[in-house]
Amino acid sequence: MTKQSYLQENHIDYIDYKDVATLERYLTPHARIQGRKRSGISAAHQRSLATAVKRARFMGLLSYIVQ
Amino acid sequence: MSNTEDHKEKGVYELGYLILPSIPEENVSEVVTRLKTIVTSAGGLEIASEDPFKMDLAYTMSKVVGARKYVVKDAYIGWMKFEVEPEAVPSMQNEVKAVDEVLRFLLIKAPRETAFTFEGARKALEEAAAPKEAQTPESGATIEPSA
Repeated sequence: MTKQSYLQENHIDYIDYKDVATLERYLTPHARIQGRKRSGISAAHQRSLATAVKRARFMGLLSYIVQ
Repeated sequence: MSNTEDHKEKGVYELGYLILPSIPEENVSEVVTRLKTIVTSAGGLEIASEDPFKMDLAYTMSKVVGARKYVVKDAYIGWMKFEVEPEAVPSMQNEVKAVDEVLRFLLIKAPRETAFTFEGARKALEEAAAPKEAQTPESGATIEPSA
């Protein structure tokens, strides 16, 4: 059986930009968005993840960079 | 044709907003009602919302109001979800932009169902932390008699 992603397991269809706990799972220590190889989520999810992370950054929920 | 009316399908939108922290807590609800009147006057029908609460920002933001520049590290964050005709959205955006108390806002399309709330996330965090706290006093109690 193929391994299910966190999003599939929790039935998250829509990645909300306010859901910081979920978004942080897919960030690198420098607060960059993980690539698909590392995140292991579907292409559609990866696209909506990128949008959600960028929205969260704009609203001050996530930082743009961690040095 | 009656089809023209069918084309005027309403969309579900979400308005997330940050309110300047310099506003006293009791006046925040006034700003929220002002935002709500902007939505309702554009023909919006509220579906869900969450009242703003004070939150530390991930980075400092600034906003210039008149001659004053506000540099802030925290803000009140809240959101509301509503149904409105897509034609009304751009003018609504301009109206929200004109509210001085709003530091930033985000007007986006959203699904009708609300899966995430700050309140729910806070509770989930507390629940995740609570069992550990409940276990530690127990384990502490078991150690005591043995000692």
